[in-house]
Amino acid sequence: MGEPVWWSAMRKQAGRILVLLCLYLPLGCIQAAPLAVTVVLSEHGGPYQEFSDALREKLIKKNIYLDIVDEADEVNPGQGMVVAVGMKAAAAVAGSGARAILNVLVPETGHEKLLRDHPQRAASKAYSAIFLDQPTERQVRLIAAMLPGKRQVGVLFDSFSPDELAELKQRMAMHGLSLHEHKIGADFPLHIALQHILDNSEVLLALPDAAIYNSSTIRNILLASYRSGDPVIGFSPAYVKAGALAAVFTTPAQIAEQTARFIQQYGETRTLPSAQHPQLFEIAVNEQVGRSLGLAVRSAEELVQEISAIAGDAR
Amino acid sequence: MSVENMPRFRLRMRRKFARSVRPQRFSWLIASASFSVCAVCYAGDDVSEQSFLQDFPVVLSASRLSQPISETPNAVTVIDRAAIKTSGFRNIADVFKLVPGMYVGYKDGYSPFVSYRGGMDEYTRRMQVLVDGRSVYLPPYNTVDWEDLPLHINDIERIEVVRGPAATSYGSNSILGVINITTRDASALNGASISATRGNAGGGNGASDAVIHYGRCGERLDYRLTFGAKSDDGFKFPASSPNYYNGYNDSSRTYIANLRGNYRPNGADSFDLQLGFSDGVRATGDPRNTNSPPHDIKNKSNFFQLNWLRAPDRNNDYRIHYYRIYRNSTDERYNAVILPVVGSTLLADNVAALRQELEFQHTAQIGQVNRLVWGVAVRQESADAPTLLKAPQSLRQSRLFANDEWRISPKLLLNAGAMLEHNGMGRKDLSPKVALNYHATAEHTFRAGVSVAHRNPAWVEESSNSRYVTNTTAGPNTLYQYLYSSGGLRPERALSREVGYLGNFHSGLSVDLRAYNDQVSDVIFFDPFVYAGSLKVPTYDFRNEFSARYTGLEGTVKYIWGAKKNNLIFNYAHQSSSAVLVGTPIIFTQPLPLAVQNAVLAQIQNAATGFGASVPMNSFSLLYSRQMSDACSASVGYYQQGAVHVYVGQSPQPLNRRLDLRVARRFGATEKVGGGEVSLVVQNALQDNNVGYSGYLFDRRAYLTATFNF
Repeated sequence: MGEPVWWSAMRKQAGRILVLLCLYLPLGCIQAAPLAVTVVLSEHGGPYQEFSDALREKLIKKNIYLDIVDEADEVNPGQGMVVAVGMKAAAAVAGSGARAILNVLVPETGHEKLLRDHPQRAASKAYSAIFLDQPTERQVRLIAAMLPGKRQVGVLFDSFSPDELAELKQRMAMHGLSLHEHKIGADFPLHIALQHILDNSEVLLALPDAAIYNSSTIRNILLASYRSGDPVIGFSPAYVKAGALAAVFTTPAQIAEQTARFIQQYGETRTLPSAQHPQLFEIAVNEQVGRSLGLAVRSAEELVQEISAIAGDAR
Repeated sequence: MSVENMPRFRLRMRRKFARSVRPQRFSWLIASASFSVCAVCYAGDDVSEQSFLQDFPVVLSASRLSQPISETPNAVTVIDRAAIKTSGFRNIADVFKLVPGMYVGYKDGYSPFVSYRGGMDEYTRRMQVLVDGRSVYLPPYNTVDWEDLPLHINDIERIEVVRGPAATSYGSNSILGVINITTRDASALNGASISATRGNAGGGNGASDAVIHYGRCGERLDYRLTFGAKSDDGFKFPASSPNYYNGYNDSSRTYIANLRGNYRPNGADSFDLQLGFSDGVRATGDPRNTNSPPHDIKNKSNFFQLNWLRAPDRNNDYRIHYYRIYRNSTDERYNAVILPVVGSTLLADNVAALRQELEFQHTAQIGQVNRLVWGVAVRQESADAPTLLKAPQSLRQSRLFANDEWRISPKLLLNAGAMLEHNGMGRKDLSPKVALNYHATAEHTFRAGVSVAHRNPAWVEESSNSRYVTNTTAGPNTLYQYLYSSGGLRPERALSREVGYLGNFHSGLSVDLRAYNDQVSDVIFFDPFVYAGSLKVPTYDFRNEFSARYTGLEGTVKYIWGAKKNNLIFNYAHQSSSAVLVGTPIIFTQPLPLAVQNAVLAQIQNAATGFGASVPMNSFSLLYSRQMSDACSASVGYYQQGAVHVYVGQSPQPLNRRLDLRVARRFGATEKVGGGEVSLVVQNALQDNNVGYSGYLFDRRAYLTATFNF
């Protein structure tokens, strides 16, 4: 006589049930069902993997059921929450039936584009993002703290709105800095706009604008700036490795930490905080470049502390 | 991950994931984005996070980063492209007037010479001169033919002049200092421009120059090209000058072309290729000189160089550098005196020189406190000058060098290094250097250093046999023996001690002060003697004749203000020199009348006692430039050099003062197609009587230059 079907299924799941019981029992059987969170990665490996590993670590011992999937996979979050990592994943899940979505490792402009493409999400209190972009204030403070003698800040742009530039100008003015901006385009190819900026500025602030800063242009931008004696302030550690003086950025692990807090809030309130810049940040400094430019280089730790203290940011 | 946490997570690894290696913590730096995704990704409107996540290769690798002036073991003057432009100088050699203590002289309109701390003759051969790492002082004189360099003044990105010996970092021949010219990167130009200059230099047809620059930048390949033509009528010589007749025949014309290309097959390797040539015609001769009537000298020069830079990471780069330089000068003429029967004689002062060098260099950042540069090099050179040298010459030199920059503490930096050179003439010499830089504060640095450097004898000193055998009114086959080397010269050796102060202030002000005491022993100098049978008396040999001492104070103040619109450079040098005669220099190959002996001895003694006049006691230069609007700029240069008597045969130069002015107006958009600039330069605007090295008069000159981008 064969085993009953239910018994067979039970036996197959026995190990899993046993471990679940061991874990849940000490916490009390009255605890609510775990929150299901699906993490959708745009790509496997690299910073995406670093983010998911860090998030998993942060959510250990929390009552959360984490499912990490590929963007190409079919996502079926049910009543749970989706964390979309990168633009490909964010674009894929924005159009899905997911109720609560948090976009991470996305640029601010990317999130805005998704809201334009999916207007129904705009009103949702469960659609949010943690941008990769740093708040303007933080970048301006880095320049002010790091280069106290330099007042003329150059910015090259292609797709910034007048509002964004106006805000940048205003923030700089508050720190005694002057903005020299130059738009690139058919009339002003990059090398001409760059030379114009370098002629009129003492420091070049690189802002995420892929038409200007990419792997085919970075070499000439850094060489030309170095020749002019103008340090470059970048927005990722890759810039610092290549030859920028410094960069303020947020690591995937730091975004994971902020994400964990978002998830917990969602678990408690079923709403997500509004889309925002990353709270945590790091600063990388290329001391060799700084020294070569004859600058008094301060340590990254000192700068993080100073900027955090002024801005009230968390470290 | 610990076992106890496993059940809380369900890691759904799809097939694609399962194939991959076990997930590991990737560094943020090693982002997944590969370089090859580059520009293509950004062509569309897609918004991507790649800007934030992509990795870049190391661009400013260890060897690209020059030491800041506050950390160099030497005093260094930096002249950047902007200063060269605003100075309005037309000749590269003139730019060195912006270096404190530098003497710039002209033998004639096309033979400038540049020597730190005055000079001893027109063949300055005591400086290392590098163009992109290529050593351009050439045998047999070991001097630089500035006008023959296949290099246009517009090609220069930056000039660093090391004031004082620096063999450790720059190789041999740097006993007085080093000129290190860096040309524009292959990527510096993305477009084309044509520029034409007309001026009234030297009267006659004046000066006419033209240059075309063309460059293209790509993701992996950049290149730029220069084609230039330059001509002028040289200098005027006053009737009182012993070289008065030179003024009749001092014109020159030079064509140059050069190419620089940079190819980067990947993120770590960079290949930089350069080649160039120059072709010049120089008018020379004096109707009164029987052996050099008016005629043309034809100079040709070419070079090739390849530089492979591998920068695998931020802390290491490796460089292999090969170059080849060839120069020849054809100076052929018939002498003016013709015997009725035999006719005139063909005289030829032809010179050909070839240099090849291969160098390996490794720059390593070791931890946070040490930066080591070390390398080996081998150089092969040869020269043939039938009427100058005893025989065609060749040699192979090799050198091993290392310099460590040790940051003992944040305030204290020690530079220590040495070069061991096998000079190819049977000598091995060690040239060490040590310098300590103390950053009292971020703004104030003090430096003290001691160094030793050597200069190998030039072939013209070691192996000359310069003579003509011609038919003259004195008879057939008359011997004119100009030079004859007895050989066996020792390298000159410099021991330099210096202290310096460097101030670098946030206000845009920087100050560089220096006091030095240099001893140069075994100075090689002309040694007059009487050669048996020569109609030319005296003939000159070369001997290690003097011990010389140079002391001085010099300084530079730079000030940039008003959002970089105003730029001021001020240089001052106070210097003195002296020499003592050592040994018994004179060789007599035949018994001489006492009067002749005394006259020859007196010439040597005068050389020693007159040594102090070979440097101007006080000299200064000032360059102020102002960008008045986006389109208009103006600059003023003032150059003053105290009285000086650079040796051998020339008249003393009195105090020289010169005021240069430049105004420029851009039209159209800067550097864009259809844009350009018109500039007017007036040199010696106040028409001061500037008497040059060979007695020429540098009168007021004006040049108009128009540049058009296409």
